[in-house]
Amino acid sequence: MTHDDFESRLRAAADSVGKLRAAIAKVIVGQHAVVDQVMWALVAGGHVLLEGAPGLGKTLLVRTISECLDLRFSRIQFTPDLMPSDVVGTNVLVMDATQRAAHGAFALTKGPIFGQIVLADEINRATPKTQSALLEAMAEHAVTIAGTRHALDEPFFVLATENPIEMEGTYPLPEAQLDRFLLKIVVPNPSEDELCEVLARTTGRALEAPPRVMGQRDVMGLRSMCRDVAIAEPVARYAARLVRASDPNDKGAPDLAKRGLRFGAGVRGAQSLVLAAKAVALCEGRVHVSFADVAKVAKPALRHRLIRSFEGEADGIEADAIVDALLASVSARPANVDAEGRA
Amino acid sequence: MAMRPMREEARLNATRTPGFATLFRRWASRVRRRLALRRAMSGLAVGLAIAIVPAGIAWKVRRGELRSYAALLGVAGVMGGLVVARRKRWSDGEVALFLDARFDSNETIATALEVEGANEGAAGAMIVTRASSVLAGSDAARARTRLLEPVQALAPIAIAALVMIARLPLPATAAHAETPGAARVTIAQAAGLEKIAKLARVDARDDEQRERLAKIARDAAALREQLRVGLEKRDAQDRIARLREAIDRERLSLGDGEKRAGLESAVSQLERTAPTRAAARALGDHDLQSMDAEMERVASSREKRDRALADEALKDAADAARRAGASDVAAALENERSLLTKRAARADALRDLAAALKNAGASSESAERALDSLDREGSDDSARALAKALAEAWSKLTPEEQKKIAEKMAKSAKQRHAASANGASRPPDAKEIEDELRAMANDDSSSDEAEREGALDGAGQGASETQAAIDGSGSGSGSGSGSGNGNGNGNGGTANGDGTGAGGSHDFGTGAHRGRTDRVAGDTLKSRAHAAMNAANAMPGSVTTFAPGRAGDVATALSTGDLRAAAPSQIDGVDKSDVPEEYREHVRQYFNPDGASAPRAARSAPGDTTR
Repeated sequence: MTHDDFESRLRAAADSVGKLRAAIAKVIVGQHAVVDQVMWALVAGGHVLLEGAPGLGKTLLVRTISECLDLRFSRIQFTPDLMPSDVVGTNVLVMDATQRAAHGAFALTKGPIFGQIVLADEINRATPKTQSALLEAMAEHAVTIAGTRHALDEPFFVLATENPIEMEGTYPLPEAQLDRFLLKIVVPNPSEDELCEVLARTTGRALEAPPRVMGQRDVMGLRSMCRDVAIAEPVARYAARLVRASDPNDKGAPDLAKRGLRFGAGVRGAQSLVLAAKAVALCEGRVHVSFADVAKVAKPALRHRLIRSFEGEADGIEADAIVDALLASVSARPANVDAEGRA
Repeated sequence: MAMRPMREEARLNATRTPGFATLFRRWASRVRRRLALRRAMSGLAVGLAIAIVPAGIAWKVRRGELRSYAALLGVAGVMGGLVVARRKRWSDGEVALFLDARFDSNETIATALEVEGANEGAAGAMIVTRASSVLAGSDAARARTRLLEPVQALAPIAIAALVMIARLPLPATAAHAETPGAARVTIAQAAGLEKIAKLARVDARDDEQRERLAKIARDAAALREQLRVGLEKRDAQDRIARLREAIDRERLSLGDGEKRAGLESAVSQLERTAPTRAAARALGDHDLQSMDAEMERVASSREKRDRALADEALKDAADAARRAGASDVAAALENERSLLTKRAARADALRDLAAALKNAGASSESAERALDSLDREGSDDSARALAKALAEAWSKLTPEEQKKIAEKMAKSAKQRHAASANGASRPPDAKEIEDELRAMANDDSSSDEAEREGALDGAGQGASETQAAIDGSGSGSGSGSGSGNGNGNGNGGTANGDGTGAGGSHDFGTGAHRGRTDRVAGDTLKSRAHAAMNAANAMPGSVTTFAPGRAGDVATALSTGDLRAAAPSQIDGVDKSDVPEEYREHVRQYFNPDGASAPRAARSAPGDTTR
């Protein structure tokens, strides 16, 4: 590929992202940061955990994305009685015309996991057994049914939601499983203007469906380009230092992290950080990562990987506050360059 | 992801893509130059600040010419700054990060530096292209590093300080305050010490005195040798003062200490008789020469009764002294007694011969004067002068005249002896008279104690001369007192003489020194050195004076005794001094009438009625 070809591809990718953002904005009011973060995860090839109060448009966002993308969409409403087979599917005995079992054969009935964009709504309401069935698919992009491994179609993009305020009858995701999500996106309450716009859109005539702006090839192309984004050693070291500083036993950890954390982010956290930063760069039309990209994805990439200590929970130290402390304490550039660079 | 190996490879291949590499080198050079310049300026500031110290030291030690050279430390500081800049030189990566920060290029340059030349494909090429365009299109002013640092604020301060130090007049030479008495004294020929050394040949009263005199002589000889090669003035003054003390102590050693009571008894005995009263006073004063002279006068007196009384008084005094344990006093008085007899006989003989010559018409005018002097003064000198005059007159007589006079004198003597109970002696002939006159003319019949005291006086005089030589050999120093203002300088005066004169002042102040102290006449003090004393505040330290005084007398009174052994102001000074026990008790009663000192008082004489 020549330099010009690559540049035109890059430009096209940026345009596609822009179009996707614009298409989503036709349905979703505000929530630009949430939309951007979802797109970073889409581009990076990771999954997203959306956390927010009911009615903030999480499901609508996912459904809108699925409509904008020419991808197969499926939705799983997680409930306590949901079984793993309800997620991944199962083999069903199919009778012939004689209705005799001896002449019948097992046929695979695929579950909703076989979609390309999977909405796992209220994932924390399912039992851990069912959650783990989903999470296996998320990690492996494949499911095993009755001993047969079935690859999932790419792109495979899971968007799970959870409600942080209704805790009864829920099964919080274990930390190891939370780690499988590339980003955890907190959906904020809309501002007054955004709320007014939401009211205007949803209480009037039905909205027209958003246009499909991207297909499977486009998404896969973006994911491929994302892997080509370069990251300089100082930037990669910055990401590594951030993750290391989240370890409360690390001497470079900020006091808040030492006080509020039991465990920090691990290797998968660093990978997510860099991968998401690459997606950010790509979405902004660059093929190299900057310090700002890393900082930008630090919260969604790290907040669900920080395991708070008892003291942290008791004191109400939020993971976002700790990430802020990490960003404040870890210098991007060497001290001498940093001092000169600011001048 | 591009990591370190990729960066190394990129550097190796940098020459293949001259665009970015050239641009980056140019920018890096600019950045590093400014960083080096800043380090140099900081080094200059630090160097100049440090230069203040040697410049100040040069000023302090009055090496004014070195002050300007101190500024060279500024150059050294610049060099040091450049060395530091070289050691802390930014790497390419650091420069790239700095440029990215300044150009807000999202680490394009830093990434390009790593991927440039590496096989990063189209993406790498695109990064390098973008970085090149950033470098090519950026304003150089945006990539300027700071030139100023807080430490550079030292530079103007240091320059001002250096200029001030360079223009400051050098400090005045520190006045050299010589330690009083530390000057060295060198006296090639200390004649005064020779006189002291002669004490070794003086006929001593006893073995103890002989030993003491020998020691004084040895010390004088040693001091003489040390003065020849040089000695610290204060040491020399101390040594000569000790010698003077020893001589004075020796002069007063007769009847001293435990023999004091014997001396007092002898004095009391002598005072009872009028002819010996003056001698008693002289003995009390330890003025044995005066005493001897007084006894000469009595012995030469025409009044035989006085001689007899004096002889009796001397005998009684000697007995009293002996009883009181003062054997030396007794011996001295016995010696005086024998001399009294001898001198009386000599005076009688001379008077007889003078009368015989006068009757024979052979007397001379000088003989008449000498006879008159003998009658008036009664001294040995006058007796010798008479003997000499008579010898001359006698020599002018013919043998017949001499024989005639001798016979007449023999007859007269025979009548005198016949009149007395003892008439066994033979009258002298002419030849014997002539020989006796010659002997009398040369006879020195001083007492042993008078001779010793004469020798000690000579030694004391020698000590005074030596003291004067030592004092006069350097500038005196001391502290003056007074008040005033204005400008002026004071220098140490020159002390000379035997202890007279006020000490000089050693003053580096700038005030006038017009203060004055009135002089107090010290003539009434019993002192050998009629010194004038300053009525100023007491000098620190103690002053030892030699003020012989009798127990109970004050210093202004002519007295006897020795209070010199320990100054009364010293602790237990009274106990240590040679004060008679009855006076000690008197003093105790005066200060402690309640009798707290009963045990001590109980030791006093039983007949003491003062208690």
